[in-house]
Amino acid sequence: MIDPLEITLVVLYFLALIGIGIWASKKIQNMSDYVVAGRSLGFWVFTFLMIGSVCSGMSLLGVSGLGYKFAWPTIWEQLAVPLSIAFCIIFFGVKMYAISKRSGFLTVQDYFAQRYESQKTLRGLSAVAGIVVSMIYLAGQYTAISIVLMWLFGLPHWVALLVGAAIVTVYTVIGGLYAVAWTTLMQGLILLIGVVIMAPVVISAAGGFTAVNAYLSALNPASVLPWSTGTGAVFTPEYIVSFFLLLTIGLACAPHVINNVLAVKDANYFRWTPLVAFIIYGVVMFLLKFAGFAGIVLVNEGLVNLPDVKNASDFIFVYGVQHSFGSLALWGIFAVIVLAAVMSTTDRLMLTIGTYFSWDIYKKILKPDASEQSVLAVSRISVFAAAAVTLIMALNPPAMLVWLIWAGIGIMFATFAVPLLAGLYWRRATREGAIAAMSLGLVSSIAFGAVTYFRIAPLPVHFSLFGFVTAVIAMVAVSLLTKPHREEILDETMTGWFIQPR
Amino acid sequence: MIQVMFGLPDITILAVGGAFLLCILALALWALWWKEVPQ
Repeated sequence: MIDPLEITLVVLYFLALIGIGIWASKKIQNMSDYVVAGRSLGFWVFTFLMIGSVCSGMSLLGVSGLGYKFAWPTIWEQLAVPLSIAFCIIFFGVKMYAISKRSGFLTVQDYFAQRYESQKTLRGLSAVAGIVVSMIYLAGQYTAISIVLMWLFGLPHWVALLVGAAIVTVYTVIGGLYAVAWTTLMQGLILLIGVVIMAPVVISAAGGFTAVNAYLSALNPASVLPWSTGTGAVFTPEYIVSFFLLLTIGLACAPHVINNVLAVKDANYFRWTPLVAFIIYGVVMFLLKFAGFAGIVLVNEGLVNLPDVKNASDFIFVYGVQHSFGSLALWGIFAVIVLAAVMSTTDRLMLTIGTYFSWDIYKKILKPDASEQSVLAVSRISVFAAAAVTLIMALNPPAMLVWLIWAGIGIMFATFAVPLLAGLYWRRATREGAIAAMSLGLVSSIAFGAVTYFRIAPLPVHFSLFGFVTAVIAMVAVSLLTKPHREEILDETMTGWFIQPR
Repeated sequence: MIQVMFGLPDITILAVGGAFLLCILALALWALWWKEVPQ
């Protein structure tokens, strides 16, 4: 039986999102407004936009699910993901923003096109790769939305997917980055307050933090160690290193995260946002993981029964809250919190796909004389199309949500990290090197991902590291064999071994 | 193995707590190192 109060809360939340979308739509006059919010984002809106972009379905469902399944050896995720915001701002954002202010960039592809003097090939390759990886990642987000709506309203998976996607699509299409940023501020605050209140109650229901750890230790002493060893161990030290790189650098260069740095009003926000975002998001991530540990106690003691579905561990936080809070109203609030976390990434990903297609492929490659209004229309249609295709991908999710999301981040890591880092810091990096690194990074990470997914051979580290190393080798070898770029281009794009232009 | 705090082995406290503090320190140093950009 669905409680009317639950529905009211969720419907009110959805209406607030649509309301922000309508308000934001009035501010959209051109592509700059739609894509980078007219470079007008203030400190807190920007900080929460960064948090919301990396805080995904994985954060509430996957993080607790992974903690429930593998306990303490997975704790490094709690540092790596918040750190990705700092990595993005410090190593990519400071320079990219300075160049974009001077050159009027709207996307990372604009940077690639200028730095590597490749208006079509590298721009197109990068945009297509960005769309592909964003769609893989987006499929994971839709699965997370569906988990919440299935649990709350007992909806079938496909109906839950459709409802979630429809709401996000509407406000993203009409309001662009203005809507995405302001809804993310609201969603981020809901998430922060909600997790800080609810996770401790779940941990307390399992006996408290110390008792949970003592229980885990008695159950299996290896589960309270910071890494695992021995035959069949997943989170070995070498795997954790690859996992840390994957999450920190992979998320930092993810298209839906890095584009945010182009939208701030003042470059001086880059001074404190890394620390502030790390602390806020770190608190949320640690609490969620500890709630996942508490779930082990609750399930083993028979207090919580997970549903009989193949991604059962992703439901642990949801069921932990259901057990710990008697009031249906609180469940409704909780549903809003989870939806907020998931939607804050989903909308940003959809906008990224729409922008990459309309600006980088349609306007810059296929139809350079297209009017601003027609590019805006193509962008909105692309967001719809991205939602439709991803829904089909999300109909049959893998056993653990987190693996799908990591696969998306891993492919981003292997595809974009090397061309970006080399472009910004290595003056010898060339167009041919970047094309080789990007294409080989993308193809090899998908190939190694398939090796892992189909269990063809066990890999000692996360599959994306193989793709990343392939991209590094390709960039260095091909760049050294080809003609360097002109000094004027390298100076204009601030290429060199420094972070802040002085 | 010595159980030092929170029912956890010392190596877990040291590794995770140490890494967390190191991150905070590094990001604080970044903020101190920052040179104001004129608008």
